[in-house]
Amino acid sequence: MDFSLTKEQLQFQDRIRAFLQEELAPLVEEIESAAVFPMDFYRRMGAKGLLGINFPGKYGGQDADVSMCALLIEEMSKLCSGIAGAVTTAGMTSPSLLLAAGTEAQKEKYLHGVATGETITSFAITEPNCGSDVTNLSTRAVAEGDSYRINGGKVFITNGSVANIFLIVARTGDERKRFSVFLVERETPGFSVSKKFRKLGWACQDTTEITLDDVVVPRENLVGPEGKGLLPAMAQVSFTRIMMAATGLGVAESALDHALSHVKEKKQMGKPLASQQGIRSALARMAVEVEAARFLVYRAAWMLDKGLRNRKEAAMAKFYATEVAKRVTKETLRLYGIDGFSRKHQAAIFFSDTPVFTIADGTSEIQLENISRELGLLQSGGMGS
Amino acid sequence: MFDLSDQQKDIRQAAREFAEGEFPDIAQECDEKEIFPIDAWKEAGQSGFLGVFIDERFNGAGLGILDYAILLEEFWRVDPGCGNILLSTLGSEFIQDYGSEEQKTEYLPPLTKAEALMGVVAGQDHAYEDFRYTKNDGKDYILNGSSRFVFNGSTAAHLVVVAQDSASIGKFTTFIVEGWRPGIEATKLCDKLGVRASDVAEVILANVTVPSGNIIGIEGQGREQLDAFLEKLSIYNSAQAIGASQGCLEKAIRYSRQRAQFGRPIGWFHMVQFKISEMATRLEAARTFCYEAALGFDQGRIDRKVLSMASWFSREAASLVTAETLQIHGGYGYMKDLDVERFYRDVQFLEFFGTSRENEKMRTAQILLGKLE
Repeated sequence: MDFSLTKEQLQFQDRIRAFLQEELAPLVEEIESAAVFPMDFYRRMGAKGLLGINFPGKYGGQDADVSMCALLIEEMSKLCSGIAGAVTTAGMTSPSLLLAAGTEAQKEKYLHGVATGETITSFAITEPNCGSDVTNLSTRAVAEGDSYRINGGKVFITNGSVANIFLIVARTGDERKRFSVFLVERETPGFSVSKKFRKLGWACQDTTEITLDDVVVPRENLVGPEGKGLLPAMAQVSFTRIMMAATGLGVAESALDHALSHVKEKKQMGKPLASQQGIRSALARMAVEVEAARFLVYRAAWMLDKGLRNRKEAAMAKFYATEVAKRVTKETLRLYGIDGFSRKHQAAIFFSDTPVFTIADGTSEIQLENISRELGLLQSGGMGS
Repeated sequence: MFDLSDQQKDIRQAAREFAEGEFPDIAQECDEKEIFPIDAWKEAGQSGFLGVFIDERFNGAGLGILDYAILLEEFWRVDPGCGNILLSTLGSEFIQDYGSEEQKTEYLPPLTKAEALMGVVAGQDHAYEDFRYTKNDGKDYILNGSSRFVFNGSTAAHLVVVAQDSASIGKFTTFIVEGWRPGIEATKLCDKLGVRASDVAEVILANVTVPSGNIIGIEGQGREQLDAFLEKLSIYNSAQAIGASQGCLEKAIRYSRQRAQFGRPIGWFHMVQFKISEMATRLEAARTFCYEAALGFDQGRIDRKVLSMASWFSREAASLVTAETLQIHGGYGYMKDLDVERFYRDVQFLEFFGTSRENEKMRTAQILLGKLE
């Protein structure tokens, strides 16, 4: 068993680290407090070939595998998971749906723009009544000759304020999961961003409510087969889970690093906090969890790269890495005490960002059901499917 | 589970009605803009909720620490930030327990009437590193030092400061430092993560001179007084933790009943049921510890072991309960609209308000293990 990164992966990791240190690290504080999408940085990533890295070369990508994508998100998340999430959903995970299910014409039209940074993509499925349970989805698309008329609304949509293209999941029939995905360009009449959510964390990540009021799109904008629209999304669900897991991993690693520095430097009654066994042992535990998370994430990625079925491993990685991120960041905040109790302090930012990790991209409870299913414990029913 | 007296049940009811009447409309704004809820504080003064443990001779209600704990619990149940108006009297404990008649007459009544706030350094590192004094011919005392965590530091009329004798390390004395004395610099800590409606400030004392009449109790008694105060803080932070947990548990139950996914309320699913059960169990256990410890106080039999158990267990419970409540609420739990994520932030304040969890555990262990060779 060779657990080491390949030479190619190590080179990629070095390259990203250098890029991020120079281009992102100095901007994090400003982007967090401005609470806007980092457009300049996004374009620079495009210029450096770091967007759409998993696309084939002919669409402007690098043919990068899942492990490389995970490395990219992990490194970005160490600096700022809000930016990492915004950028990767805009320029990698959401447009990958086009890659998986789009027509050649759609791929030709949009993917290049994604890779250069001109195009920001947003994926919209969640609705007030449809979170974990996708069957409640009520946004409806009615066929009218050569077009579809879409009515409905979505919530918690990342990058809603800045995206050029939206991949909207709508119902095209009354049967349980008769869904289709439509590509809606921002300027389409009837499309609007109706609200911007204020959140506990991820301040720099734009989260919106969007409304579709008689939005008409041509048949060419259907992405994937009509009525089976979720199949492509499901086909890449392992990919998106691993990306979320890598986000959790990056934050957990960074929080642990901060905690380690802190307990070595901060003194209490003349001695560093690390001199207290109770504190040392808590840190050692955190280090074990972070290490375990790393293995789960990269093994799941490796399996996907090798074409092995990895639904279980992807669910495990997502579940574990995000739960670890929450625990580690909470402990880190506690260790910083009054010093960390400011919204501007990194410990507080980590603490505020992580609770959404165990909710987005399939809650921890849904992941446990998914794992149960893979273990043969759940034939039908349960939560999620 | 714990049998409260009829009077205590009435106090709980009154506190609950007050908090539910005053806080919901203002809580979000106070949190967003870091505003101290002055009107609610004044109302609380008029309704007799401030300084209930202060002697009736000084306009208090002459009640015990258990009664105060019940108030803290009920106020924190509705909103921790606003609920902290009950801490406007923080530091008065020193005067009440050790002060002279003159000091009590001078400083306690205004606190109960919401005419003034009091501030004190309330972290466990306090007094080892923060403030020092030098004697000036036994008539005056010159205070120097700083602390980043003085509760009510920039709004208090007067501060209670426990300082170490520069000439005699290990000897501490408690002083009242009136806000009008020259040499005091207080800078409000802004952009706090939680309890944003509360004032926490960095306070710097630069050659602040006070007369010997400002000593609370006797010279050298500071350590003993501080230890007694920290014991009370163990009850306070325990009650606050329980209050926040109660508020969150109720939200979690409500949401589990009303939110439907997969064709049924999410409370139907075992994972949610187990979360609710475990939250309720931890909360009830914490409450029993807290009330038992507080009752012991009031009956003159302080059980230091139970006090420490109450303090760390309640805070750990609050940390878990607020997190699970957010998780149960899903995406909406993460949004500021819903009054859930605020509790998750606010309870983190309790981690450094008083003695750390680690120190509380060590205290219990020391008592149980006894002297080790």
